[in-house]
Formats: sequence, C-alpha cells, structure tokens
Amino acid sequence: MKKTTVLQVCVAFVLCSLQAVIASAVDCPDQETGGTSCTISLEKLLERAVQHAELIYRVSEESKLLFEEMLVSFGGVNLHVPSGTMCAPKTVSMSKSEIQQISDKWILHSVLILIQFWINPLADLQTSLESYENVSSALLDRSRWMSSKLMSLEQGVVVLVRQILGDGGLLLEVPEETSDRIVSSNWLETLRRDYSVLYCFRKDAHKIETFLKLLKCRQIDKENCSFF
Amino acid sequence: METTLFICILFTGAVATQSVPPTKQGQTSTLPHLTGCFSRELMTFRCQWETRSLHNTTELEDLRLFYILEKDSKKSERKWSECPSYSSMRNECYFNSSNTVIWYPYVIQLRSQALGIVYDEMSFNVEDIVFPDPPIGLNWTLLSMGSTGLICDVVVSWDPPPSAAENVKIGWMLLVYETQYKEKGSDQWNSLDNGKDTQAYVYGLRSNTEYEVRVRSKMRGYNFGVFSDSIFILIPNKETRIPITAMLVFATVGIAIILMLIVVSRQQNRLMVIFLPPVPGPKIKGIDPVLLQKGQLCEFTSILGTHPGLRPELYSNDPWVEFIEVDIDEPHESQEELLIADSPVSQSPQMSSSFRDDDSGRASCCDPDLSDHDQTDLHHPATSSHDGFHPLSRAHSGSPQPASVCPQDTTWSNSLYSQVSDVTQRGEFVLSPEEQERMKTCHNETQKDKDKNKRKEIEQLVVIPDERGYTSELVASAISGHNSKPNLPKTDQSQSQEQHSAFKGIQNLSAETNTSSLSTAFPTLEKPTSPEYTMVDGVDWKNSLFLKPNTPTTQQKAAMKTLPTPEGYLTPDLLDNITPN
Repeated sequence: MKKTTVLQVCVAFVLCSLQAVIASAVDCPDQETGGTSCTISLEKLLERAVQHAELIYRVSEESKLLFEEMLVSFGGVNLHVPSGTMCAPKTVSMSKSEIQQISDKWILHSVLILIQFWINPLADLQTSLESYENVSSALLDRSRWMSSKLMSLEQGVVVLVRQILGDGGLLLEVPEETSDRIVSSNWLETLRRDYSVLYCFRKDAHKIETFLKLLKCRQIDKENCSFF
Repeated sequence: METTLFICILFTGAVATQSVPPTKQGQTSTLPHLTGCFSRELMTFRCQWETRSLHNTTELEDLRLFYILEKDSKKSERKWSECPSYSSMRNECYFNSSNTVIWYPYVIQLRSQALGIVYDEMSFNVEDIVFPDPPIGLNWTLLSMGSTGLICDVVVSWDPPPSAAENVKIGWMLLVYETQYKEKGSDQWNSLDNGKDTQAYVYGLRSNTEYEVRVRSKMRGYNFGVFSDSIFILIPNKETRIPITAMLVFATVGIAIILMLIVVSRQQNRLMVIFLPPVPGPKIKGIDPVLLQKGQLCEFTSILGTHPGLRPELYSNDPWVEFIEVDIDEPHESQEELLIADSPVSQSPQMSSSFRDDDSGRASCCDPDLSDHDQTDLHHPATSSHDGFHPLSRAHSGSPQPASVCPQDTTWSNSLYSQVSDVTQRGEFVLSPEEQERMKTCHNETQKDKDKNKRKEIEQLVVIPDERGYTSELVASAISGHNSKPNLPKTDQSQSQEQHSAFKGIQNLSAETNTSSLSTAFPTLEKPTSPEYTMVDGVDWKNSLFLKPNTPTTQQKAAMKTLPTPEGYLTPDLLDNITPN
C-alpha cells in the first residue's frame, strides 16, 4: 500500500512539474488565463521585441540595397528622396530629450502605431515586387519575411502593452488611410512607389528599434537609463 | 541618399579646406553656402557654412540660419526658426538635444539678414547625417601563436567614442565597427566587419612584421565616421630560427661524417675486412709450415695421412675402382659433375653450396658430408650422384680403415696408391695390383705412381673446382715441384698460393730437396718402370682421359700457370702444365 501511494505521489508530482514547465514555455498572448504560470517575464518579452525590431531593421536595410541594385539593372533610374505620405511622420515629433522624458505609454503607443501603419504597405509591396521581371529571389524572400515578422512584432507589442500598461492602456488610434495606394499603370511610378515604401520603412524600422531599446533599458535597468 | 552623399562630400570638403586660408579668389562659389551638417550621436547636430572671405565679419554677421521641421503636410504653416546657438565664429550652428528631432526632415536655409535672400538650402533627416566619432583606446593582445612561431592571432579591442558612449549604453543608437589592418608598407587594407563587438579578432598575422590597425564606427544602415588613429602591432619571434638552423647544421654534419666514413672505409682495408670478411681459404688442420721448412716430413705425412681426405680407405682398390665412375650423361658444366650418377640419396645441388666451409678450413671438408649427406648407399658402386667429395666420402666410409700415422701406416701404403694400368672406354681406370706399391715409411718412392694417382686425384679433385680440398694444390705442387724443381716459376705459384702456406712449404720443399722432398711427404710408391705408365694428358668434356704416348723424357712443363682458382686447383686444360712424367 505504501508503495502504491508513494508512486502515485511521485507521478502526480512529475506531472505537475511537467505541466508547470510546459506552461512556462508557452506564450499566451491573447488569453487571460488565470495564474502567473502562463506569462512570459517582461524581460524576455522586451528582449524578444528588441530582437525582432533589430532584425526587421537589418532586413529592411538589405532590401533597400537590393532594390537599388535592381534599379541599376533597369538603367540607373534616378530616384530622389521620395516624398509623400510614406515617409511622413506618423507620430508627433519629439527630440531625444523629450523622448527620454516621455512616458512608457507614449513610447508603446508610438511603436504600435508605426507597426500597424506598415503592415498593409508591405503586403502591397510584396505583390508589386512579384510582378517585376528581373527581381531577385532574395528581395522577394526578404519582403515576405518582413511582413510576417512585423505581424509577430505587433502581437508582441500588444502583449507588452498589456503587461506594462495594464488592460486599459491599449488605445488604438487608427491611422489615417494613406492615399498613396494608387494603382498606377506607369511603370516608373510603380518603381518609385515601391522604392519609397522600402526607403521609408527602413527609417521607421530604425525608429521602432530605437524606441523599443529605450523602453527595454528603462524597464530593466532603471538606474542607468532614466534621464529625468 | 544623394543628399546624404552630397552632405558628406561637402562636409569632407569643409574639413579639408578649413586649414586653407580663403584668400583664393577663384573659388567655385562666391556666395556664402552651406558646407554641411553632421551629427555625432543622434542627439545633436551642427551645420556649417562658409563665405568667400572669412575676414569680413560683417558679412558673417549678416548670415542667418533658419530651419523648419516639416510637419505633416501642412506647408502653409511654415514657421522658420532661427539657429538656436551660433558659434563664436559665426560659421556654425549648433542644435542641442532638445532641438534635435530624429526621424524628421529638416530644412535649413542660409539667409542674409540684410538682404533677405536665401543663399543656400538643404534638407535632411538627422539620422542620415550621423557620423560617429572614431573609437578610442585601441590596444591589442596576443591571442595565440602557431607552433612554428610564424603565425599568430591577435585581439584588438577599443572603447566606443565618448560622445556616443552614453547613447550606445542606453540603446539609443547602435554602433557597429569596422576594423582595418595592413602590413606596414603595403597599400592594401584588409577589412573586418565585426558588428557590435568592441573587439576584433585578427587571425593569421605574421611575426616579425609590423602591422597597422585602425577602427571606425557607424550606425547600422548609415554612414561611417572617420577612422581612429592607427596602432602598430609587432610580434617578435625569437625562438623559431634556432631549431631550424640547428637542424640544418646537424644534418650537414651527419652527412659529412657518413661521407667520411665511406671514403675512409674504401681506403682502409681493415674496415673493408670488418664489413666484408674475406672468404677463408682452406687450411690444413694441424699443419705447421715450420714443419715443411725444417724437413720434418714424417710428421707432415702423418698429418696428411690422418686427414680423412687422404685416408687409405679411400684408396683401397675396390672403392677406388668404384670411385672412378664417370658419368657420361652430364659432361658439361663443371667438372665436379664428373661423377654424377643416379642416387636416391640426397642430391646435393651444387658442390660449392653444400660444401661451404665455415670453419676456415681447419676441419675436413669431408666431415660435414659424412655426417649430413648420404650415410647410406655409399657403397653403391656405379652410382655416385654426389659431387666432389661424396665419392671420396663414400669410398672412405665404404671401407673404413684406420688412418695410420706416417711411420707405421702400412695400410696407408696399401690402398692409397695404385698404378693405373689401363683406362676403359667408359673412363674407368684399371689398376694394377697393388703389391708393388707398398708404402715405405717416409721414404722416397717412385714418384710416378704418386704422380699418377695424384693426377687422378687432381682430376677428381679438379672435377670439383670449387672444392675446398687442399690436396689438389699439394698434389699439383708435388707433381710439379717434384718433376721439375728448378723450373718452377715461383712467381706464378706464389701468386696463386698466397693463402696456402702449406703449398709454399711444399714448394720450398721441392726446391730444396730435390729428390725426396715431396716423395717423402706422401706415402711412397714404387715407381714402376716408365713404359708401364701412361700419362694422362687431359680430360675432355666427356670425362674421358687423354693419355699421352709413353715418353719418359717428356719435357716437364715446369711452369705452372697461374691457376684460375685462387686455391690453385687444376683444371684439365691446365694439366699440360703439370710436369708429366
């Protein structure tokens, strides 16, 4: 009798520990499961978000360079700095000192707005790139990758918002519909538009990365990072 | 991107031309113009301009810088702001961190206040004009060195630029570095892109070579800053040469010693003797050359008599007859095969090989044969497949008779010598009865019998050219020396008889004692009358004997030609040289 009870206890203990282990590794972004066993720590979350942003920025840089190489093969199309709504600032402009003084809430909001702004243009870019004749597969792969990673980053930032700001901190401001989605039959216009998407997305990716890094530093290492 | 490049060029041009006094009248632009704006740490930036003449302060005072931030698309509300702080020289405008807005396009205008005209305008984003300062504090450490000491690895480490260090630490800006190194004197720089790390691993540097290393930083995706000051790396290497030179010296000395040894060994016979010992010649067991000189022939005879090769048993009639079987089937090749016949007993392949004398000739050559080879079937009369001494040994073993000492050996005289009366067609000798031939004790007997027998012996022994038997020489010398003593050319003999002191002794003996020297050495024989004997002239290839006509006064050919074999064996063709009788 004693043996069986001991065995039962051991099995139960093992199962419970396994469950705990498995549960801790699972990411539960959108579900309000009870208990703290189903959440990731804030540090890990921020670290993953920062890594995502860094990688997205790097890939966007490479994509821009690949696109420029492709332009060279088209005959050296001269594309000046694109102007338009793509590169327009989406958030209120602030200096660094102002940003450093700004609250976490503002940072998170800005990041979220930026990310949500770029999801659709990247999808359009993907379809547009596929229509080119001599587009390199590397460029296609990168744009596809960027789209997917941006969506996962959005999910992560939402989780961050929930964790840092609580449930009520999520105020989604729907950005204005960009009117640049003009289906142009002109081939040069299409090129210019695609180039502006890549060019401006690269800037914003850099911004997103910087914001998230700042946020991470603030949250993790409060003594060194705060400049109040 | 083009504006960025343009700004870079302008900036570099501004930096380069700052030291040049602007006295040149032939400048490209006479109007004041912006030379460039740059930022170090994504927090502040500054813009510079220049005018035709810097001395004219009034003109500089007149210049104003205005900027505007493009916000959205509301271009109607363009509110230009003036530069927040001018430098002391009024050619630079500094924007502090509160006035610097990242990720926003700036538009800068250089205006003249008095005239109200715009001299120059440019627009940019601050992040595009970031040129980080070079890193500081470069130093290097040796990481590892190859086994030979020629190749080594080095770690170069540095610190981020002080102006941007803070921003990097808080994550505001991400600096990546590029390391370049080259050999001193070379023009080609090697680049290493090592990302965010503030250290670089440089592999494959050669020792005793000076290298120059420099590092520069940039914000990822943006522009590089200027290079840092170079540092010089020199890795000394002391130990590698020593083992190589030592090895070379050692190798050459070793080769020289070997060559010297070879040369010396060729010239020195002693060394040759050590390496290649000479083939030992046959020596008579127990024979003292002194005996020969002193004329103590009895002892000499006794010694010879005790030798199994000369034992009386061999020369008994019956075995003697048996012994003189000649095999006609195989006449060719060496004459040792004269007595070849079928024998079930061991077939010794070659005479020389089976009779290897490795006891330096002291023991009898027959002894190994007696022990190893056919102990059986030795009495087979007509069958002797053994070369050389086999027949002898057979004969010897067939009729064992004690070897007698010289003074007493009646048996010796009994069977040792006999007179050949006739030679059959087959080559067999027919011997006359032996009662005529009684050996007298150490007395001179008729020489001719002896010669005949000796000749047969010679022939039989000549049959075995490689045989180490000693008797042939002695026999030959005995024959020759006895018959023609003064005609013996000693030179010839001496040439071939270097190693046989016995032979020399015999020669001396023959020379000295004319008549009885050699005859007394051997068991004496009754010398039959000359007509009864015939001389064997030679042995042809069929092993049949050529007999000379009975000429008692045949000239003796005293000269013994130089024997072909070093042991002085006679071949049939040289039998002519033997003094016939």
